[in-house]
Amino acid sequence: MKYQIMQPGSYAMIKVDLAANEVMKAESGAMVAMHPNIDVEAKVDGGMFGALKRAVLTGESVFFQTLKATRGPGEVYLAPGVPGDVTVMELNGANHFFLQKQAFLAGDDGLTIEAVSQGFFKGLLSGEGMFIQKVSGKGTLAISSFGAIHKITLAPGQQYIVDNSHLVAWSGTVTYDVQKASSGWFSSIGSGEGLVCKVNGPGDVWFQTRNPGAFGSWIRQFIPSKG
Amino acid sequence: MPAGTFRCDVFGPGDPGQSSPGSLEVVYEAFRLTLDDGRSFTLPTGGIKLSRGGFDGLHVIVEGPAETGERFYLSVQGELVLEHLAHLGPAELRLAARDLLKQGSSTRTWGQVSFLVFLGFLAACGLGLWLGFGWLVERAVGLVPPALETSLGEIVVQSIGSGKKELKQGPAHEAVMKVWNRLQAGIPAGQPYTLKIYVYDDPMVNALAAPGGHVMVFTGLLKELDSAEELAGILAHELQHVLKKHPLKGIMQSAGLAVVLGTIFGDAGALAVVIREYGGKLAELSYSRDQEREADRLAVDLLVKADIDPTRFPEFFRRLHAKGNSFPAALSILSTHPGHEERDEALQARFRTLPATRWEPIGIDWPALKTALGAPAAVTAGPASPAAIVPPAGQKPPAEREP
Repeated sequence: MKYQIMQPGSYAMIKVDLAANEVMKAESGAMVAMHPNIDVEAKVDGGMFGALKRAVLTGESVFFQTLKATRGPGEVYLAPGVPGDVTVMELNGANHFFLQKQAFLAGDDGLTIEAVSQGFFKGLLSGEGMFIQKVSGKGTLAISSFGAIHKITLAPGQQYIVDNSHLVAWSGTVTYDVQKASSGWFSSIGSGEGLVCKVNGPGDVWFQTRNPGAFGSWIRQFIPSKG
Repeated sequence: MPAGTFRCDVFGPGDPGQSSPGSLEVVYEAFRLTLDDGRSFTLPTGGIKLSRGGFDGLHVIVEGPAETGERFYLSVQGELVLEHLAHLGPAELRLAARDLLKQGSSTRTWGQVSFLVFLGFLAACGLGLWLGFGWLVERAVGLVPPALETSLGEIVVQSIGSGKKELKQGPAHEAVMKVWNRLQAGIPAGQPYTLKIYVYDDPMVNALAAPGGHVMVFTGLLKELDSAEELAGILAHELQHVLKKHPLKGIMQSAGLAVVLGTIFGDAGALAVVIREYGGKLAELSYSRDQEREADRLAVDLLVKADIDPTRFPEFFRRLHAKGNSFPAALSILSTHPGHEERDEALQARFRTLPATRWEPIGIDWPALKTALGAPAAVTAGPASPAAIVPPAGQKPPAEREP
């Protein structure tokens, strides 16, 4: 899967060049434009139970788009539904990644995407939801963020603090705990941070520069409360 | 892949945070690591430490120095490496491998249990909400003052009546008012509303109850009726919806939890917004089976108190039923639940308990009214407003009562 990130930044999209008969999958509704050689179809990935589980638990669509270069090579442009950046990671068969729900944008057809629980308390407090997506297999994976996206790489045992709701993706070898931003509850809440995620290496962590929940709160003040 | 060789995610060579794919061959005296780029390393088993790690806590982490000095951190997925080590690995690692196998088993069990607990929690929340929502609606409706309910009802009336001509005089208005005034004798004392009826010149075959004491009736319905007593039955039914606050309950149930909780906690603003936005769709609101049964039952009581023949009430339904679907579907009083037969049977059972009575006719020449309204000539119209005598089951009609 040959790709190029177009218009990187707040309104990024990804251009993927497909060889003849090459197949890829993408988030439902992600296709912006494509060469007429390409056919787009809805696919229930991982069987109906897996697809339903993913849809119900992570809010993703039951269907993925399958894009196939049926009539020869061609390119397709894909973009997420919200303003934000797009980045790409490689899966080599030995590694895997976890994505916050709705971060998946596109990937090689051979990738497996499943909904997994991250535990009750972590799900409740991390801001990433009760269920996240696990992506494994071999190939290229494109993810999207709200705002720009930034990657940090942690050595074994190295720790980092990321505000909750800012985590987008992390290596399967990375763990995290939810904890107070400060030692006391008062300063944790007073600092405006409340709860944060302490991530532990080794591996890569991608975080987004904007918090969707905070953006929603900000925009709500401009919505008239009465019709 | 040969037996005893496992794919792994390798951290260590070069940038310690960057991982590379590789294969780990587990042999008795040493671990041989071969990266996919061709580099290979030997890790003596004496320096190897085994643990669990990874996001799900189920990765097998192999840490240790290579003979060349680099320190490696390998993440292996799956239990096979531990099973291999537990049986065929070096003695110093067998025990650790067995402990990690047990730890993985309990981690998986705990994960499954917590998932089931979570599902149970969700199911309990859903069930609680399902069972408790009706109770919450009842509480919220009880907290809306009648004056506010009346104001909300006026918004509904304005929405539904918008673009329709309200009749304030003429034969239709006079007939409806005559029936309405007769019904007032049956209204329970102390009810909190100022009851109002609105007559619209509109082909809709319908009568509607709006919150706060408002009832709307359309000339399309009058043209389909055959007697004033049938109209009295329908208006009595709608009045009971009003008195039992069914329209407000229906609106609240449709509006959802946020509006219900807002009302309970003293903010009826959201309810007003919902009514303003969707008040015009009250005609599409359907009542529950229990609400329809209750309105039917109490309508008969109201008719009896008002000395109006209640047995004419179901005639319109029967006629409608016999006609199949030829009537417009919007008639809320004929909402599909309870079904026609069940409803008719319940009413007939109620009629059998009534004492034999000579009812006071309302006294409207209904065929003449229908003609005045431009309805097609009635084929099955019975007597205008007969003085019906309803005997209890198995009894003969009593002697007529003096007017």
